[in-house]
Amino acid sequence: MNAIEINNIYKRYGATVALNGINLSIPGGQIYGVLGPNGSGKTTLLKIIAGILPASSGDISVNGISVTGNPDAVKSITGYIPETPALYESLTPIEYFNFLASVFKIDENILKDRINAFANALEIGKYLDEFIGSLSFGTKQKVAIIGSLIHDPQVIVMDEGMNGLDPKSSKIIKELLKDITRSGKTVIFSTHIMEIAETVCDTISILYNGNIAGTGNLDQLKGEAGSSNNDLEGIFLKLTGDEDLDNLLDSLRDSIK
Amino acid sequence: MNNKTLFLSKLIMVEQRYLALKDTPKFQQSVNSSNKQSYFMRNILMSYLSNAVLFTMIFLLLDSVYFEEKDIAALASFGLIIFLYLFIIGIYNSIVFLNSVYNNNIMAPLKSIPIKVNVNVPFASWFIYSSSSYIFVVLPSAVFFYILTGDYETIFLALLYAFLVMMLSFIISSILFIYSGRKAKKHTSIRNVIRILALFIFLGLFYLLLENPAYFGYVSSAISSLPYYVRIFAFPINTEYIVFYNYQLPLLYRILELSLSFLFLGIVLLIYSKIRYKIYEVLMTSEENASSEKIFSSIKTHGMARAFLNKDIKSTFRKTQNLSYIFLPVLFVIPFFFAVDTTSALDSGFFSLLYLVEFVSSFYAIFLLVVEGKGIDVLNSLPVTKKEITFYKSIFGLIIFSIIAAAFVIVTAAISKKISIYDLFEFVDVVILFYVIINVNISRLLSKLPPGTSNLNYYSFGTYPMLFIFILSLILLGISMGFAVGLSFIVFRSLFYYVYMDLPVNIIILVFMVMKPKFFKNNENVINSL
Repeated sequence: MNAIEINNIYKRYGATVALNGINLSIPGGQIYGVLGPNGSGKTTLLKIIAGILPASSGDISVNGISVTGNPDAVKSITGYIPETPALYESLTPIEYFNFLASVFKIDENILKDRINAFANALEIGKYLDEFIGSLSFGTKQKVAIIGSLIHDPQVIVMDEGMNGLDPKSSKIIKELLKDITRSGKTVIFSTHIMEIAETVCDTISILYNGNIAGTGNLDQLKGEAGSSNNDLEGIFLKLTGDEDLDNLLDSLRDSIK
Repeated sequence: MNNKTLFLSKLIMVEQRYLALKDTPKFQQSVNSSNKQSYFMRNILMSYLSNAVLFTMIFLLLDSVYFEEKDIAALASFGLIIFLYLFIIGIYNSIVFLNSVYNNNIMAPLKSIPIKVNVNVPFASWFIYSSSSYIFVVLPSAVFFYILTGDYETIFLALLYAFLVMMLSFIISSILFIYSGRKAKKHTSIRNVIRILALFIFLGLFYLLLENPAYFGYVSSAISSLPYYVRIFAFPINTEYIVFYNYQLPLLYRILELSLSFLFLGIVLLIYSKIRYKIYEVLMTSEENASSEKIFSSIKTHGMARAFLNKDIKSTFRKTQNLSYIFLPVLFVIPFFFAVDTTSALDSGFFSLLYLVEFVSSFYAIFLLVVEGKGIDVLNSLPVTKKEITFYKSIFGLIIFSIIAAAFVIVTAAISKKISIYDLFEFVDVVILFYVIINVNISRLLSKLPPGTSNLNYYSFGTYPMLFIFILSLILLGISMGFAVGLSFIVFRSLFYYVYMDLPVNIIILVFMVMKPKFFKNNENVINSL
C-alpha cells in the first residue's frame, strides 16, 4: 500500500488555480522530493497533505486515512515542518516541547530521551531554557524540526524545512531522514536546494504552475525532460521552461551596468 | 505633513490589514487581479467610512430624541457621554494599534530603507487611517445644539475637543505601552503590575471627573463652590460646560475660553511631542527586544486542558502589555461603581454592575485569540479541533473573569459593609453565564477564520468584531436576566429573588449550549454567519 495517495487534487483561490488536478502515489519508506519554482503550488500541496489546508476537490489518504474525512487523525500521525518556523515566542523550547508532548500524549521518559538526543545532535542544548523569541532563525528552525518529530510521526512533511540550518545540522537531518525511512516511515519534502534533493530523495516530482511536470528518480526525470544534462538543476530548468534564461540574464546584465 | 510621511503611515496600516486578511478567501481571490494594489486602500477606506457613517447615524438617532424635545441640558449631558465614548474608543484603538505594529515588527523593516522616517508616522497612521473616523460622532449633538441655541462655536469646540480627547487617549495608551515592559519575562514584575494598576486608577479617576465631579466628596464640593466662570475652564473636569454652555457667557469669557482651549491643545501636543520619539524608537526596534533571560523548567507532560492552560498563561502574562487588555473591562465600570446607591435593599445596582463587568469582559474572546498570534499555525498542524480550542480558551477566559468578579464582589461587600449569601449567588450566576458568553463568542470568531490562517491580529475577524461580540453578549445577558426576573415574579410575586432564580436559568442555558440540541445547532449557524 502506498503511504500517500493523492487523487485529483484541485486547489482554487477564486480564479487562480494553485493545484490543477494533482495525482501522485507515494510509497512508504521513501524520501519524496517536491521541487518547483516559486508559486508553483508546493506549499499548498504539502499543507493539504498535512491536513492544514482543505483541497477544493479531490482527496488524499495518508497511511489509509482520508485527509478530507479525518484531518485530525492524519495530523496525529504526521509531523509538519513549515518554511518559516511558527512557534510560541514567549515559551522556551522545553515548554514548547512539553506542550506538544501533552497534546500527543507522549510518555515523560520517552520525551526526556528524545529531547536530549535531538538537542545533542542539533547542538541546541544551551538554548533550551531561553525564550524562543530570542533565538536565531536557524535555531528556531531546529526547534520546529524537533517539535514536529517529537511524537515519532509516521509521515514527515517538510516545507523547505532545511532553511537556515548550518551544514552540520543539515547533514544530521539528512541522515536522520534516511534512517527514518528505513523503518518504513515516509518523508515528503520541498526544497530549492538541488544538491539536497539529488542526494537525499528516492523519488522527485517537479511541480510547475499547479501541474506535475515530471515524476521519478533522476534517470527517469532525465528521460522525461529529454535532457542531456546529468544534474538535477538542468533537468529542473528543462521541465520548468529555461528557454528565456539567456535573454533574462542579458537583460539583467544590461540593467545593472 | 509631507507625502513621504503620509505614504509610510498608509503602509503601516496596509501591512496590518495584509497580515490579517492574507489568508481569507476574499483576499486570495483578488491576489492576481489588476486592482490588487487598491484592494487594501478600498478596505481601509470602507472601514473608515462605515465607522464614520454607522456611529454618526447611531448618535444622530439618539441625539434626535433630545433635539425633538428641545432639551438643551439633556443634549449637553448626552454630548458629554459621546466624549467619554470617544475617549474609551481612543484608548482601545490605540492599544490595539501599538501592540499590533510592535508584535508583528511592522516598522522594523523601515530601518533598512535609506530615508529618514518621520517620528510622527505611527500617530499619523493611527489617526488618519482609523481613529479620526470616530470624531464625526460628536457632530450630531453639536449641530443640534447649534440649531437650538444659534451658537456656532459649539461645533468648532466639539471638533477641537474631540481631537483633544483622541490625542489624550493615544498619549495614555502610548505611556502604558512604553512603560509596560516589552521584553517577555518569566514573571511580570510586581513593579510593572503596580505601574499599570496605578495608570488604570488614574484613568478611572479621570473618567469619574469627566463624568460627574459629584462623586468626589470634598473635592467635588470644592469644585462646585468655584465660581461658574472658573468651573467652565477646568478641563477636563467638565467638558460639558466648555463645549456646550459657552453661549451663555459674555464675549470676554468666550474669548478667554477659546484661548484656554487652545492652551489645553498646546499642552497635549507638547506631551505628545515629548513621548513621540520614545514610541518611534520602541516600534522601530521591536525585533531587538528579545529577552536573554533563562527559565529553567523541567520536562513534564500534562493533560490537554492543563497543557493549553499553561501555554496560554505563559504566553499572556509574560508580555506585560497584555495586562492592559485584561484591565480594560475594569476601566469601563469604575465610574459607574461609585455612582451606585450602596444603601439599596436589593443590591440591584451592584448586581447590574457585575453584569456590566461581564458584558465588557466578553472582549476577552477576541483578546485570547489574538494572543495566539503566529502560534495559530502551530495549532493548525496539531490534532486539535476548533471545538477543543474554544473550550480551552474559554476556561482560561473564565479563570481571568472569575478573579475579577471575585475582587468585584469583595470590594462590593467592603463598601456596603455586609456580606450575604446573595453575593455568593451573584458570583456563581455571572461566572456560569460568562462561560456561555465567552464560549459562544470564541466559537463564532474561530469559525470566521479561513482554514490555514497563519497569523492572528485584531483585524483578522471582520470589520466589526467587537460590535458582534457585544451584540451576542447582550442577547445572552438579556435572555438570562429576562428569564430570571420573570421566574422570580411568577414564583414569588417579587423581583427580590431574581438573583436566586438566575442560577437555575444560567445552568439551563449552559446545559443547552453543551448538549446542543438541533434548535441550538441551527441558530449556531446563524450566529456564526454574523
